[in-house]
Amino acid sequence: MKLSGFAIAPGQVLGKAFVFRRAERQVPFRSLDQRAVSAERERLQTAFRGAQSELADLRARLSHEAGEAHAYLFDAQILMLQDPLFAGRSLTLIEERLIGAEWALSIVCDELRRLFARASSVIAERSHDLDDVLDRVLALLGGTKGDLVLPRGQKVVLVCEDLKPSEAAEIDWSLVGALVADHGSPTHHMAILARSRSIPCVLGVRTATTQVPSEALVLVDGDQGFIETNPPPQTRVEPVRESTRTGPPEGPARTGDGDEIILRANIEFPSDIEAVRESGAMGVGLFRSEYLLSRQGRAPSEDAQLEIYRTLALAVAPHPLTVRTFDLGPEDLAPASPSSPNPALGLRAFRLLSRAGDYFRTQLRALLRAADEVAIRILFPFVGGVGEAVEILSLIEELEGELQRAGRAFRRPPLGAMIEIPSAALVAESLGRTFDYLCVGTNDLIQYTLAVDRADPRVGHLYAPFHPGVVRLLGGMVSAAREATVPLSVCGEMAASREGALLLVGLGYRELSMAPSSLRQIRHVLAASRTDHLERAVALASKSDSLTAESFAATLLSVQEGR
Amino acid sequence: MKRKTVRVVNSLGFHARAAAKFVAEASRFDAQITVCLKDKQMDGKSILGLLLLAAPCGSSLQIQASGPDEKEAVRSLAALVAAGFGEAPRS
Repeated sequence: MKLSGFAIAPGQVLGKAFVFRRAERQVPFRSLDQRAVSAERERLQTAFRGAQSELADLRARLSHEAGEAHAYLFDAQILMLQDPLFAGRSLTLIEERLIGAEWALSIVCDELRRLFARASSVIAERSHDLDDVLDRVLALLGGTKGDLVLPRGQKVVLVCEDLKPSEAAEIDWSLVGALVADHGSPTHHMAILARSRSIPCVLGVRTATTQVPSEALVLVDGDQGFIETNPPPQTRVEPVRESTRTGPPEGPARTGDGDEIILRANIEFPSDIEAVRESGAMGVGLFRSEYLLSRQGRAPSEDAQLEIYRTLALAVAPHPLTVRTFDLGPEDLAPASPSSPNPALGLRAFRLLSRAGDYFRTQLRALLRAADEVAIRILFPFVGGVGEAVEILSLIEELEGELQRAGRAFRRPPLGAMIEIPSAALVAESLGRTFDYLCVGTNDLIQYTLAVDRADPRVGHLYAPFHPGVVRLLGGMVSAAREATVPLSVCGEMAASREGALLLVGLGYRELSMAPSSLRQIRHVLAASRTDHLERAVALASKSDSLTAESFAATLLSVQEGR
Repeated sequence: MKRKTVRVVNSLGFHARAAAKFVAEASRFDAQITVCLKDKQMDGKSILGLLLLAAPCGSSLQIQASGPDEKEAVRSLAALVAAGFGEAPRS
């Protein structure tokens, strides 16, 4: 039986299914002595506070990974923890009925669930939030969590509804050969996790946990995005194998006819740096520095950041470390602050300069200082046009003046603009004359060009990286960068897919940055292709009004076969 | 006490995000805030209360505030609802 979902992380794995279902909730009952009431109330309040800070944490992470549209759900949960009908009432019940915090909470939740069920169906869905909050608070009260203990021995195919971040953090990933989940999309936290750990992964399978029996043999195809239980023998791939790593490849990738393509790595966390070295990347093409921010939105001090940048850059020397400046919205800085009505089009990144200037100033000062010792490149996200470029440059000059007066050593590293807004793509040549290099962020550029939020399952299918409009924008930037004589690169998932990388090279891109887990595969894909074939295929494909990755692959094949 | 009646214009009505925004805004004021829909009446600083009101698109809400900043509270909350919580009315 075959089930399809999103292809998240590449690789084919055949293994035994381990189906994870969460344990039933257990609520202990205790009656209290009058004297114990205030301590019990305090215990519950501490758990509420703990749950709030966990949720604020999760919210900040999700808003970055999946977009503000998803993160708002946590606002509702955070507010429930302060709500008189939930928090207030539970505390009152402890006192009125002399019962333990857990029991009080569960009475309140039962009452609310009944009320929700009577309200409209849209609202009834919110009992999920209520349950989620309840589980979180119960866990903090010392209850049992639905423990996920994997069998030792051979690696399993982990099949789950979804994984909460706390569960993901507790799993021994060395026992997982592949990850399959009912829920999730390419931007879900499970997706990012699987890619960063190079675990083949298919998400959004919907019925995987109900249709895959435990212990069944499952084929997981992370390239095509499907799973198959008890596949026929001829389709079987090698069983899950321990990685037998050869040393990392070195230097640029080469196409079959000898053109050099520079491959760099995208990283999220400083701990990804080991995978970067293993992958043979020529440095880091994108370090998403938001992860330096703490749960409360605090950034490390200038000196602490300097140390982090220096350490990371030294780890990839002599290749550069490209640091993208904080790409965030107001809600990342203060979890309670109101988000923009439409965060994707709202206050973000440098647009926050006048409100949250200290974040950028501290970061840029640390980067300017680090650049004096190591190979750093600064990348500015969300640049819309030349106006912002001027603003950025004048800030850099101002900070250089400050550092000079303070007697600090510094150097101006290459400054780059991330092209992810269509207006910036259209004026790329002007931006190229202002910045030292340009880097195309395809994920956002495609979303903004097509007006499609790919994390929204109702429109995700319209997310089309090969849309002729997108391809035209991408091609235009190659000419623009040539005119302005600046280096041009792509960092976005497009570069990490087989057809995407081939299209980009055919369009004239010579520098691609991607998750370290995809790098070796793309190196092989490029080696098996010739630039002249790719260029011819792009020229043919550009005439099509209905280009897709599949039709491009077919065109390329016909070119390669000389048809 | 100040009060004002306002129509819910966003297509999803008082759903989770809208309610969260309303509570965040209401919590900025010292005034006690009450939201009424027909015969139901809820604390405007309680997200669960607002969700349970289940006010759909097109319904009329009455926002009441009493306290030192009641005037500003009513004005600002009514404006938030009238603006559809910054969400586009679904086309």
